[in-house]
Amino acid sequence: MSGAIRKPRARLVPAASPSLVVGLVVTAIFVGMALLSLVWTPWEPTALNILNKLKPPSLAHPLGTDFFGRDVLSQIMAGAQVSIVVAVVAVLVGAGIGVPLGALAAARGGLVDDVVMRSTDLAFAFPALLTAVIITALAGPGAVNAIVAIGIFNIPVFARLTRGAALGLWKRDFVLAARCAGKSDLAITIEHVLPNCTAVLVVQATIQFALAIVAEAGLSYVGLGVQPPQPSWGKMLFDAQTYIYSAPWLAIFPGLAITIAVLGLNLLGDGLRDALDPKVRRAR
Amino acid sequence: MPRYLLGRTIALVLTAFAASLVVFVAMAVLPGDPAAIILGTGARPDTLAALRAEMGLDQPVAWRYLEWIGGFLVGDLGTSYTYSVPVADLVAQRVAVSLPLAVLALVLSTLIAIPVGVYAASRRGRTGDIATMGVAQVGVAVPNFWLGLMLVILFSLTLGWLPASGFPGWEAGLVAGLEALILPAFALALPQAAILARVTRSAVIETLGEDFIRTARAKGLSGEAALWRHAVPNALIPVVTIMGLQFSFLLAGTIIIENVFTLPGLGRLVFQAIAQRDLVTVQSLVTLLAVSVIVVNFVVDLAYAALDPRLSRGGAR
Amino acid sequence: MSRLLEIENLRVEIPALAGAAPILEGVDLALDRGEKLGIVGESGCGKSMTALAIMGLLPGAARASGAIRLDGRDLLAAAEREMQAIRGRRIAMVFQEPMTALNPVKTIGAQIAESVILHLRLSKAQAAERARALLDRVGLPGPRFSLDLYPHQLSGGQRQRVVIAIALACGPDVLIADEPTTALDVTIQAQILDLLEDLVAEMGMALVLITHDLGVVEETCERMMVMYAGRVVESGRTDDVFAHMAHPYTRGLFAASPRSALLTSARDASGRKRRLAAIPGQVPDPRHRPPGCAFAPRCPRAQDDCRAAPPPLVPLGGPDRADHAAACLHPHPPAAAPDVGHAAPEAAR
Repeated sequence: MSGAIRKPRARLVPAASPSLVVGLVVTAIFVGMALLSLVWTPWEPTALNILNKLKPPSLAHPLGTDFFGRDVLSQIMAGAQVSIVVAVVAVLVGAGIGVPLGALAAARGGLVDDVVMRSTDLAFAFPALLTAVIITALAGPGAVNAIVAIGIFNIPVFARLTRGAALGLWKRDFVLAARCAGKSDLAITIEHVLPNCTAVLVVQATIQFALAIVAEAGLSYVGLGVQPPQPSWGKMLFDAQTYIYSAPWLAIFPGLAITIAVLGLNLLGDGLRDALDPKVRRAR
Repeated sequence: MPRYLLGRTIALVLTAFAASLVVFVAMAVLPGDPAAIILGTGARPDTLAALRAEMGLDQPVAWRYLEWIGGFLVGDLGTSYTYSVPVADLVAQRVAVSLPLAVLALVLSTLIAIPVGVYAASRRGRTGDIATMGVAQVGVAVPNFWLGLMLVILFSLTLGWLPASGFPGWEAGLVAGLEALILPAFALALPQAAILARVTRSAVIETLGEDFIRTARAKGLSGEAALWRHAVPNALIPVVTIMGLQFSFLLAGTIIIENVFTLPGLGRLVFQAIAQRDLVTVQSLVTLLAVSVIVVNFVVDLAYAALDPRLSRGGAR
Repeated sequence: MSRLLEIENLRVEIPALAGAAPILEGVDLALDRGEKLGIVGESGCGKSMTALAIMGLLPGAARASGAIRLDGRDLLAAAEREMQAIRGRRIAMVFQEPMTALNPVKTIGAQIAESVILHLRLSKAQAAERARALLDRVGLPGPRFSLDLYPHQLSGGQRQRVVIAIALACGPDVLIADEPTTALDVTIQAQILDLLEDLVAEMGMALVLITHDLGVVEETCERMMVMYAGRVVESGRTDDVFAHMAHPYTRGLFAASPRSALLTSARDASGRKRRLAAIPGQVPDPRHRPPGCAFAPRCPRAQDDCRAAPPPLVPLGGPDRADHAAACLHPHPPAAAPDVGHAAPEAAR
């Protein structure tokens, strides 16, 4: 990087706002719970104990037990693993394909831009969850197909966002200066454009992550996500529906887990946006 | 205006065709021969060939697409392999459940969100704003199918006010039909209302900061009057766009919600058709849904132009 | 007999900004029917705040004290409902930015009629008729300028005419024009000012013209007031102020305006090309206002006593110019007429 060219960078150490702090804490708890469940859970999440089935919350089983006598708390902890893995990989897949596409569209313009943008228009015509259901149903249920089905709908989101942010950057003086210095479009994209898109991309990734968790739960709920015995929140809700009269807690706690995780991520996203986007901060 | 309309219409038709092509290709490249699935593993080769011919599977792919899309354009969505009835008839029955559900949800969401959003904006930074937006923040995070279960526990199992599941059919009367749809509609609508209320709030706040609000106040309008006559109408223009986007969410949402409440809608049809590898039904259904999303977006674009004179009327100069 | 509009010791502050000086302090002003008063100063000096205080439209956090009297009635003590009846009816305002002052999604006819319907209780048809007449009067004749046009279909100057029509709709007693021509092309500026002058003469209202352009004040207003950092630093009949320019800030403003170059020769005595003189420094932030005269840090004549306490606005004497007052401990003597050549190079350094 030449000293003469000033490269404005987004602040990566954001000022703490209440939503940022709460969001970070909730997200950390959620991730910590998943990590902890790898080594320890109060009970073995998949251990059956028919004698102890459908017990309401108690000291031994704080969130009760399900039809097979499995501990609900342990299952929720282990279920976080699936939520995180599926959501993270799906968002990475979406960003991994979408960001280069968007950057390409912004750098090349013209026909390339048109093709990419019209393709995203087309992708938005298919309701994401519906299509994810169809893809997993036809291709077979399971974690990998769920990731693909959710990831596909992250591609156009990231492509559009990157293109929009990059187009603005391509008009900025420091990019112009780099062009005059004879740098290739690829080099400019990597050195100047993408680093300056980081803030918006991180914020969007947080939001997409939350959406992916809901999507994964939805797929598991209709039986198209990860397969038993691996616990997942959506599957727990599906199983709970049968016992909704006799054991409503089975339906309450996994849904609360989803809600709190998503709430935490949304707060984190809001907090990051406020902290990283000077325009929003000034408007407050 | 006519040029704008023409451009949008061409884009609409092209996107719709592209969508149908995507669906068709996706179905065509899927592994598994539908005829073989229907007949099972023990089928004799000549029976299989006969069925393939009957289903048109022996034709070239391009021809099959043209035949299908040609029929699609005149309302012939093909014939279901498993039910042996026209897909259009199946769809018509199910749309009678899904469409009222989606529309009801959209109406509920709008009726809740806009007053709440405007209220929060007018109380910006005060208790009323913080409280409603706190609730909205949680509302955004609630998955609609779980909310459905919670509504069932509260209103059906505990209070006994509304049916927990099933649909009596519109033959049972409007009231019975609506009673069956009201909980699923709320389950779909509340999270969407939370999103819409947040959008409405920020749009109204942005508009309240505009100079023309000060002009309106300088005319002698009260704060309330300036809010409702000048800020809200202007702020609702972008909100309409979000409502259009929500239609797509609601359509997809019905798929899962219909499972929660065992409603015989399009969502259930999709699941049944997939389970039975009834690919013609899946293909036509998905295309139909995609086209309806495209059409709704088109209508929203037009509404946007109609609401915003800057887009629909050129300069006089 | 009370004056039409009278401001006494107006003070505006934002209590939330702890330690900040008031935005306005000790502002006095009096205005009769048919009179035209100019308020000049750099941006941030409190001109617009004064206007908003009169309209009762100060930003939410601001608190005003003192008195603003319209025909003897104190507006600061008036209830919001009463203010609503006064705004647009008795006091109206023309804003600086015609591009954003109009609602983009309502027709200009509806925006003019709104005020008439509100205050004069006219029917829709009568209001439309009245709006038509107003548009004709401000130079946007029908049928070319239909009531059904939207703001984006008009140029900046045309929009400002619409804003003026809105302000005049109910025949106000006081018209406040806040930098009405700043955002317009130079060629349009004169037209809009002429229009305003004609309308004021015709309708017999009082005009408060806020501007940073001394030339505009000299042409339009018989009385003027120079503001700096929330205080009035010089006021009086326009002729007197221009003939004397007692406050160094007034001179600095004059030296910095392009008109000074036109009034004096383009080259100074040594034959060098004369440059526009900028006043060094900038208007102090209300949070860091110096304890004494706020202009002292930028003032070429400032002495130690200037930095002790803000000087009061005192009459400069002279029986024929009783109105002329300046808030300066070391004003320019009356003999030294506005000599730009001296003030400018000094100030430029």
